[in-house]
Amino acid sequence: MSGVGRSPAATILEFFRRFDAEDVEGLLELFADDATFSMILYERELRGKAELAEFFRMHLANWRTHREWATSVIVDGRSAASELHFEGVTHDGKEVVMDNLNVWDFTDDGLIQRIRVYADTAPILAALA
Amino acid sequence: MTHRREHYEQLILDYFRAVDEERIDDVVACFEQDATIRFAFHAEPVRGHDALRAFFTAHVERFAEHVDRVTRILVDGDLAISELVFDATTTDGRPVHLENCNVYRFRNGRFHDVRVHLDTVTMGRQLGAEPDPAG
Repeated sequence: MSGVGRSPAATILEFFRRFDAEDVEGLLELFADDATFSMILYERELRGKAELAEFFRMHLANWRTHREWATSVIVDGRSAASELHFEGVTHDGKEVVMDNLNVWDFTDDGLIQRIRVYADTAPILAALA
Repeated sequence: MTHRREHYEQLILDYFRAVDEERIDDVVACFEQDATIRFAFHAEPVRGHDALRAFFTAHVERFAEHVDRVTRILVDGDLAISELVFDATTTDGRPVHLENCNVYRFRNGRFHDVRVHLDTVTMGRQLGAEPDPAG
């Protein structure tokens, strides 16, 4: 099911559910075709579903196990923010715990137009070094 | 008691203006007496007015010039976030450019808890020292 018609809060919770399930195709259904994603680990903004798919598959491949969930969701019109708790174990057994913040913008019909991730990269860089 | 969103938006703007103008008493007045601010999720929070005053005094003394530019505020009940760009020059001439996001929890119309989401790797690289900003 696509993200059309969902509220921003419901889409955010569904995003994390599908991310946890490593359902990349399902994740992409939540995004507008020209959606963007930016995170400090990446020098440029990702744009469009092909780049998003590549990012999600690359990111998910880093982890032997992982789980993440929103600890709060702030909705203000067609924009939102969510605090995220992430716990992962890399393939060589390093544990990573992070708390990030995502800022989201949505299209009028409820698809994700933009995600910006504010993260402290220290824990993830240490684990993936 | 939940205040109007305009109150929270103005409090956030007043807070950054006071930081930029180094009016430490006005910065501290944005916080409840037992409020906390945390600059990395794994760091110990700065708690209470005395600790906040000492923290922000040390923060502004670190920079020859500094400015916080709020680019967006979102408010939902007693929660809010602000995206911001921090530009500064340290007292030894290092330029600093950080893009952060703060999460605010309000109580009695003031900050009860503030969490600063920033990249300590970028910050440490720019400062050339152990991180300790007030984003």
